[in-house]
Amino acid sequence: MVETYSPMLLRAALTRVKTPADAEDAVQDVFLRVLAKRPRFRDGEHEKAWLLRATLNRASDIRRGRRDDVPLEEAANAAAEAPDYGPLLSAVRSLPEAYSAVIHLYYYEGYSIKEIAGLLALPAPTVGTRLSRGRKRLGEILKEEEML
Amino acid sequence: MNREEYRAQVDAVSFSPDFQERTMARLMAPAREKEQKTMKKFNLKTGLIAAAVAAALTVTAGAAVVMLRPQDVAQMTGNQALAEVFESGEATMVDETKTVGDYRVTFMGLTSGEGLSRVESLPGGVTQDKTYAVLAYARTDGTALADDDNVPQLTISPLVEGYAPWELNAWTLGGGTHSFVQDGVLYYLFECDNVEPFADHTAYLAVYPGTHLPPSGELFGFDQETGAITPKGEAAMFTLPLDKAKADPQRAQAIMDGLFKPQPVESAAPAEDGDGQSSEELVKIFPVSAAN
Repeated sequence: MVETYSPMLLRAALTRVKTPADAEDAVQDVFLRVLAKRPRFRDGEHEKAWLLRATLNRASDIRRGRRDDVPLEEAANAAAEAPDYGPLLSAVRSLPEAYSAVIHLYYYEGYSIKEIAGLLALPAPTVGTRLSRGRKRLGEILKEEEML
Repeated sequence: MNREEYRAQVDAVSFSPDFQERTMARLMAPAREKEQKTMKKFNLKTGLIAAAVAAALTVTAGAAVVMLRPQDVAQMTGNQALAEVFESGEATMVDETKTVGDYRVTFMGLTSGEGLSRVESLPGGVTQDKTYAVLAYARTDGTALADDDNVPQLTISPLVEGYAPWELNAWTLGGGTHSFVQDGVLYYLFECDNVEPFADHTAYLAVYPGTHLPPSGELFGFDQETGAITPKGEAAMFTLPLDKAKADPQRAQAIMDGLFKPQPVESAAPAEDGDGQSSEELVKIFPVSAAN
């Protein structure tokens, strides 16, 4: 399970946390949860969807925790340590979570709207809407960056 | 949005190269604590529970349940030598799942050779050159199998194209099984005389409904001209990943010639070695006359 899903989960987590190390923490926490809870999965798709949602939720928690709890000095250091992502990845990471997850799964992992709906337990029209709005916001962000 | 550009930027992010190793180490820590507690209770072998947990987290669970690895199954049946072969990577890992009746049957791995049986010292210098296959049964509806459940009404037998199923099978090859239940899954370690001499033919591990039911003509069709074997009813036919370089037609012929000669009693599968194997396990060893 670790070998199969780690790459996908790390990439997904990275859309929500500041550093790759934070993404690794999120994914490790999810595997620990699997070990503790031993959830029963109906099939491979159910398993993948469960892991993905758990990872995204954990990544959100970590991001909120880092933002809320870290002293200002450490936060400044952490910001300095944050990798210099490419402009497109940076733009995706700056999107609201609801949009970034859908955009990432669609553009990086290559899932269809229907598949993303299954993975995130959302209605397909909602995924379509988020994809459309996410694209629009991305365009605005990239345009703003070009003007800077 | 340019998909390729986005992918390139994501792929450029560096995660720790040892992430998976570190993750497994972190996961193993609580597993080992659990093992120590469990060992006091069940007297299982060192490393067993941790290995099982590692298996649960390293094997793709395309199936509905987490599963042990073949080496864990071998170890739990008391065969350390066989476990080491599976651990070494020399064995063939298969991980193929088919449905038979109410069960999802997963063919996990295969290996063949001498010196892997739990009992090697047989009278008359007889060696045990055997083929070992590890399988797992899980219910298709996802409900867990328990130790006190009825054993699935399924039979396991190797079959080789070119040879009639009723002549070359688990019974004539001295087949036997060890089995136990863990986490709702029934694990089987099947063994029989080495089938590698037949590796120039397509060989199967057939799993079909019935208890201790030899593969008769009622169950399997056999084309005398092509040698093809066709199940007449429901059956999972796992192709055995044999190395064709190990085919030995002369030895295969000798095996066929000797099949129906009286077998010495000592050639039957060995009995339990009484090494403190857990009473929780449903370990069974079947003699030549019963393959499942």
